[in-house]
Amino acid sequence: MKDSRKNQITSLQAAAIVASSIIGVGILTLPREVAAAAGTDGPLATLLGGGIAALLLLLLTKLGLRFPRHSLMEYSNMILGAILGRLLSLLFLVYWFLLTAILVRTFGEMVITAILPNTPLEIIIGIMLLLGAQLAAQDIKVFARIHEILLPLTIIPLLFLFLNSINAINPLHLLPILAFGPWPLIKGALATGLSFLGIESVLMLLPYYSKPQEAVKSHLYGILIPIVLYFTIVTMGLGTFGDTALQYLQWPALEQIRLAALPSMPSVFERLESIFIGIWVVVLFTSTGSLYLMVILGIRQLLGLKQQKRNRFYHYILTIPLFFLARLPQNVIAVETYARVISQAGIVLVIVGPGLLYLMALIRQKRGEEG
Amino acid sequence: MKPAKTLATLLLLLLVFNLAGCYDRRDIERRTAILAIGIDKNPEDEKGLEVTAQIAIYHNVGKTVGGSEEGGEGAPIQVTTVQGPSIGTALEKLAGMVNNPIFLGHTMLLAISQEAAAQGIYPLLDYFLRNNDFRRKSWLIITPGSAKELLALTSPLHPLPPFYILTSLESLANNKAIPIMRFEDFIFRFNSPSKQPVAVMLRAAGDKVELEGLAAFDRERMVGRLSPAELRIFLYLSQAKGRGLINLLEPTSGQIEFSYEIRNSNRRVLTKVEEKKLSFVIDLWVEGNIIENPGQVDLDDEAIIKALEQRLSAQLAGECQRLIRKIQRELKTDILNLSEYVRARHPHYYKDVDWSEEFPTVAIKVQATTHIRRLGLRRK
Repeated sequence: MKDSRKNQITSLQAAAIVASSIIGVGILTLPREVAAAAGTDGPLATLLGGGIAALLLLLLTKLGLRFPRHSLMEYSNMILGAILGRLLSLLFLVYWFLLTAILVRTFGEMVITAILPNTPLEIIIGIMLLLGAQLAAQDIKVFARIHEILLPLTIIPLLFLFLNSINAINPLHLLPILAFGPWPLIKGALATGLSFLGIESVLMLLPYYSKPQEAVKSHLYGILIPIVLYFTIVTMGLGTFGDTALQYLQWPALEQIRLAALPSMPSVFERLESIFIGIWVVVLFTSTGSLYLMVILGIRQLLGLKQQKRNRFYHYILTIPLFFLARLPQNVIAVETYARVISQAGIVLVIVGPGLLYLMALIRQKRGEEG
Repeated sequence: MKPAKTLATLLLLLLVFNLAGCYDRRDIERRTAILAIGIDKNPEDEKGLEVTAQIAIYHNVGKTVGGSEEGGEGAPIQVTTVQGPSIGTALEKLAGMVNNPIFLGHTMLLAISQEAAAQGIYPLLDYFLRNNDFRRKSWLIITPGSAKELLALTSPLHPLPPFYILTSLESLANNKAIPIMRFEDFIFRFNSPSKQPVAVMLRAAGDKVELEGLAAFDRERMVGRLSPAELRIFLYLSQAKGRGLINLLEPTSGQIEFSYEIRNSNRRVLTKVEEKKLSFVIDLWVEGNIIENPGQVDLDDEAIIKALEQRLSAQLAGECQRLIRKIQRELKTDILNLSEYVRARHPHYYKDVDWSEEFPTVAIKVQATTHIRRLGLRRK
């Protein structure tokens, strides 16, 4: 299969793509979910979860590097055979598809509650889907460059916004640490797992790297960014609210920023949440775009279609089923339930799928041709 | 791209700005801004509420605060009272009486009558918690009389009555006479099992407001009150950087010997579990100056100062101990948030023991260290 895949994504861009594919809707609810599972061990659990995710990312990278010129959809066929391989690819496709829908829907819920109460949900979902499709319909090169440009513009203000509430932290809220053994820590780490999904994007993008030999390094740098961000968010949330009060908040991260004012009394700057929401829209745009690209690339490779021109009408067709899927959940609680189910399935898939592939590749001595 | 094509593209891009219309633009004066809300029990209906709203009248507000020349002569706010079984119903009724949609984004004060708070405050707050416009930084205060009366008060000190109350609160908070206990703080205390909520109490006294003390809650029910003097002591015990006055009395005559002003304070809470029994030591440290010496105590000796510091410490510790006894025996609610220390430091003990039962009998000892730093502009 000859195509112009190589030399599209630089190492820096690879790190940016990893980081911004991971950071998504999770930041809104992460503190609450971690605190519910791990209590005051939340910050440690986040680090542990991040560590596990990094190891997993390492496995995915190793797997990808065995087949430097092929993506998941192709080498799963080589390793598992045509039927099982296609089945696994299909599972990934369905998962990405559902995740895109639920991501956009969560975005819609928050925008309606927090800023645009009178705008129909359909408009918000539709616009975000079209934007994501637009991003995914570009050349991989353009896609990578957009991630590279937007990442610092979102991460730095986000970190600043959250660190801003450092004065509101009550150190007592962060104690006790590890009082009830390792079990809460493990549960908490699993709860963060949902927020670390997105690492699987490397399975599809690795063949486009200009320097695959640097992939391990850039991926680790890439995942370090969400780990630092999540650790900050969870620590700040827990320190400000305490583990129980946190669980009463629909979107703790938003509430946190609502409370932050500079300086605290008398308040000169208030309502920093408008800045946060603005940045968050960008964050979601990049994650939606990433996921949408996975779906497009996946379908194209699964059907064995050739590399095609960018920005064609059929790139946007998928927004239609996605749109109806995103409208499906009846209320905000249902949205959360669906999100949890989909991401738990995702975790299993991302661990078992590539794990199995790697193992089989080792056993059957399969290896892709060098780039 | 050819230059002409580039130009055309740019021109087309310019057209995009036309699309960003403001079809649902709403000017600020097309909203009914409610500056303060008061909640009382409905005197005529056992289960009902009476909601009092201070509504801003924009064209008069500008005049009163000296902004523009135009504007009417009338009052800058209108106080309206509506009744209803819940906050939402009452506000909906209010919306039917005013000419623009109600907007809670400028509400800075939520006053609740003691009577309503004693029956459980949460049902009165839930509406505001779910509302996206309502600011978390609004003050929540309890008033011993009716909230309606408090909001009807006008003071010559500030043309806008809600601002008068708000600035009074802020000035009290800056002087460390009250804790900063806004809506958000109240709710987070309410939602933490290891904390108990408190709220500042204000009373309408003629054309002024008067600090009435601190309302102590057991979860959602108001169970008692600390006087303003007790509130000061409460603040030394519960937060750093306290301020306030202590009068040292002559032991025999009861005359004021001198007045000492605390300029800064700090406290450490030490916990100990011995034989399954928990005990607290609160280590209080204050520094300050002598500001009044009517008894003409001779201060010109280091040893005398040391002796006075000792007496001050003993008096301060005694007052703290008295307050703690009141909180433990009378109020029986842990408004000092001591459970938070137990939860953080002795998690297993906290898990096994029902703290609300334990709290009234737990041993709490206060040690005070006082430093006299300055004497003012006068020797001796």
